[in-house]
Order: sequence, then C-alpha cells, then structure tokens
Amino acid sequence: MCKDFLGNHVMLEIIDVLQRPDEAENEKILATPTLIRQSPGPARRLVGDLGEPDRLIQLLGLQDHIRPRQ
Amino acid sequence: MSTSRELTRCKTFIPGFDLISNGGLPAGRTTLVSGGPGSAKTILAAQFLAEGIRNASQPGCFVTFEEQPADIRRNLASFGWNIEKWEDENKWIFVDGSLHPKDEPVMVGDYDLGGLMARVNHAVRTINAQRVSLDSIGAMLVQFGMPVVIRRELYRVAWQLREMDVTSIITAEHTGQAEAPVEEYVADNVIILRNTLEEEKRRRTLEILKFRGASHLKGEFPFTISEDSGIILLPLSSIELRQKSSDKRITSGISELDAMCGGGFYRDSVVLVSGATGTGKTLTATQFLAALGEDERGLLFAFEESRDQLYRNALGWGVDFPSLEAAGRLRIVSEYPEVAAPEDHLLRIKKQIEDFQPTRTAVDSLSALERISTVRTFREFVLALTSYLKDKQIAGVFTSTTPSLLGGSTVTEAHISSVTDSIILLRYVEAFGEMRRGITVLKMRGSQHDRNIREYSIDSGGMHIGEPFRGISGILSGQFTHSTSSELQTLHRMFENDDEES
Repeated sequence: MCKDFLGNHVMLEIIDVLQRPDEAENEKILATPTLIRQSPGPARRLVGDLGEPDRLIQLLGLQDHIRPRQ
Repeated sequence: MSTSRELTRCKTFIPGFDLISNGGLPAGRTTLVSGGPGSAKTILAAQFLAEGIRNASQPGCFVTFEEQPADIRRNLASFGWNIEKWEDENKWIFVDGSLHPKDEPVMVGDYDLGGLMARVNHAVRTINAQRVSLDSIGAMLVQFGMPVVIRRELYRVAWQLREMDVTSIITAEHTGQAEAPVEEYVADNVIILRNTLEEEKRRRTLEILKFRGASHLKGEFPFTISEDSGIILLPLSSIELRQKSSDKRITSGISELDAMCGGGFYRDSVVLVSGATGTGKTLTATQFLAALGEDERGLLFAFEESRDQLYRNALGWGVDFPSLEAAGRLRIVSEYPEVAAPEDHLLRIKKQIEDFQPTRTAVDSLSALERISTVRTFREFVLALTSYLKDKQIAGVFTSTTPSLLGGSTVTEAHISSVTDSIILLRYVEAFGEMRRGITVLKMRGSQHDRNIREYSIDSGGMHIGEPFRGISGILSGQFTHSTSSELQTLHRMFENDDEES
C-alpha cells in the first residue's frame, strides 16, 4: 500500500513484538498493531487496525507526498 | 484434609497482611487492588515487589502506566527502597507504559495489548521475576479509551501472567460510589483500599473482598503508611489470645495499694486507673514508674502534660524524674494526641517500646486519645495496645478520666474493662460537707483483692491509703446516702439471719 501511494520514497520496517520484545521496549509499544511515522517528523503513532487508505494518509499527514495515481 | 485443597500462597511480607490473608496472596494468580484516589495503591503495588526482594529474594517487575519510572524511584526512596540499586542487581525491572505527551497515539481501529504483553514477558524472563505489579488500569483507560477493549485485554494479560507462573497485582481506580467497577465482579481476587473521612478524620483501611478458593479474614482492617517502611496493617480485631501469664508480682509503688491488690500488680498485667480530674491518676502512674526494681525500665506516654509539667508534678510527690531519665531508666514521651491518628500513635508507641525495652509502661491518659478517635478506632487502639503489652510481658498502667466529678464511668472502661486485668477507681466522696477521696480495686484478675472503698490522701510523699469509708453508700454512683449506726446494725443482723437460715 505504501508503495502504491508513495512509490519508492518510503522505508517501512515491520517488527514482530513477539520476536523482538527489546524493540518494543525501546519504542515503548503497548498496543498492537502500532504504526509509527518517524519521518517526516515529528513522530506520530497510529494504533489499531489500519482501515481505509485515504484516512490513513490523512492521519499520517502525508497528503503532500502522494504519488499521483496512474 | 481441606487445607491440601487450599491454594498455595505467596507471602507478601507486608506487615500484617499475611495474617489477615491467612498466608499471603494466592500464588501464581492475579489480584485486583481497587481503591480511590490517594488510597495508596501504587505504594501497595511497589511494596509487594520490594518486600519480595528484601525478604524472599524474589525479583519483581513493575509495569507502570501512570507515573514514570524516574518519579517512582524518587517517590519510594523515602521508604528505604533503593530501586535503582535493585535494578542494577537485576532484582527489579520497570516496564514503562506511561504516556509521553509527545507521542500520544491516535486510535484508528481495533487493537490488542500484544506489545505490552511481549514486553512484560521479556522483562519477566530477563530477571526471572516472580512478582509482577501493574499500576494502573485507570491510567490505561485514559491513554487508550475504549474501556471494553482494555478490559478484554487485561483478562488476557492476567491469563498470560498466570501462564508465566508469577504472582501479580493489578491496581484499579474505584470511585467509592454506589457501583463497583466491572473488574471487581470478574476478578478472582479483589482487595479494596479505602481512605475515608470518618467524623472529620482520615482513616485508611484494607479489605480483602474475595480470594477465590482461598480463605482470608473478613472486614476492613486499618492500616497506616509509615514514613520509613511503607504500609503497615494493624489487624486489631484478629488479636490472638495467646498471652502467657505470669505469677510474678511487682509493686505499684504504693504499699497500701499493693496490699489491696493482694500483693501488687502482676508483672504482665494491664491496669486501668479511672477517676475524675484531680483525683490522682497521674500520681498513680508516676509512683508506678518510680517504683522501678533492679534492671527495670519505665516508659511514660504523656498526652496531657508537657515534660516540664510532669517533672514538676513528680517532684511535688517526691519523685525525681530528671535523674531517672538521665540514668537511662526512664523515658518520657510527651505528645499532643492531635499530632497523629490513633493508628499512628500505636505505631509510635510500639516503636518506642521496641527501642527502649521497658518493663513498665504508663499511658496518661487514654481519654486524651479518645478525643481524636471514633468509638470504633479507639476500641481497636486500646485492644491492640493491651495485647501488644501483654505479648511483650510489660506491666501497663492506663489512666482514664471520668467526665463528671462524682461517680460515672468512662467510655474507656466500657471498651476495655474486659481486656484489662485490673481496674482501680479513684472517686471523690462528699461526706458531711467535705470532699474526700476514695480508692477501690474493682477488679483484680486471678487474685483476691480488698473490696473496701478506702479513703486516701495525697501529700509530698505521694498517695497514702487509709481506712475504709463506713456509713456511706453510693460512692461509685455519686449518689451518696449516709446510713446511721442503727441501720448498719440492722444490716448486720439481716445477714446474720441469712447465715442461720442457710
């Protein structure tokens, strides 16, 4: 989905808290799933099932970064 | 045996708690601690871990949703818990779930607490924790909203904690209003902390509402938060009657009174001296303390007079308190009763006794403490103090002031007459236009005693007890009647007749 909207300008790391509890600790994650937008700053966290792409983009504040749909 | 089916317990080592819970928290289970604001939930949650580390070498994991670890370390350091050191030694580990304002999450959909669970699991494994505290549900709700989800998730948390075989505490907010939070219905084990206002006084209590499948004492138990060791429960109503009793007698400091008591007070007895103002209660306590034998030490808790006043009074009766104190044989603790709640006074008294190791203790007066208590608290205070003294085999004299000059009884008497070994009444006697004073031993457990009401006087040598009052009745009630000698003779003959008939 990221690719769809943002092309190759995106870097997404998926962390399984069960495999990497130390990472969860570092990021102080309580709930899963949590999506953290680290860049562009300031950081922003979304918690819960990610529903509609449009709303997600709005919440992440990435409207200006969207690659025009083909 | 039924006990074999009882759950095993995790001893908390929180003073008094293991007694009222019949051995501690159900081991391997989660206990919900519910309480209003300022009810010491966080302290209890932290003390559970701290005592485990100190007394049983059981590492603990503290999951905080409210205060940040740095604040908790600082706040609890005053109780002598060096959390930072324990963290270095892998005995204590924090899981910080507190809300950092900068990364407040946006809730977009359904979620679970998988992240939290993975972290707790990881923390528990890291230091091999056997105790876990989560503080508190309310703060989680504030962070995430969606109470339904939080509750569902917390049951999963509790379930997983059980799988990890740790004993855990989860704290929750309880507003104290009519309806109990859902958690209390669902949880297997519930403890309620209360901080209530009773007749303008704060009173902290702990109640074990339920332990599923495990026994415990019922009802509210007062507790206090000691400045240097945290929560201390005072299980007053559960005092065991296991005192040994001694045949050894000690002098009361007044030889005539010793004779009236059949040879002095018992070494481990508690004596209540009751009288109106000015009848010589403080004197009785003073002479009792001044009559220290070899290797004896006396401790006086004065709630009515200052040290200087006590010195001056004692000197007036020929007792030199300052030099007794200087010799380390006497200690006077003078305090206004208002400085602390009865539970705290009890704690202070116990500390002084443990520190000074007296053989004689006097409290002058209990009535002053009665002023600052509710009826129930006062009764519990007196019961606890009495049983503590008896357990330590310390002779005690409590004084109690009657509200009226003539006759009357005190609330103190009504509450503690059954637990004290002896009761001595000091009364004003109005006789032929003159105020005189009378003393009687109302009760002397385990011994014969003089049943007369005797006149006494007070001078620079202390109290002097003389002959019994004759021809006056109704002294104790204050409703005096004077009987003439012919009546007395009639009375005498009446009993003689009775004797002949029987």
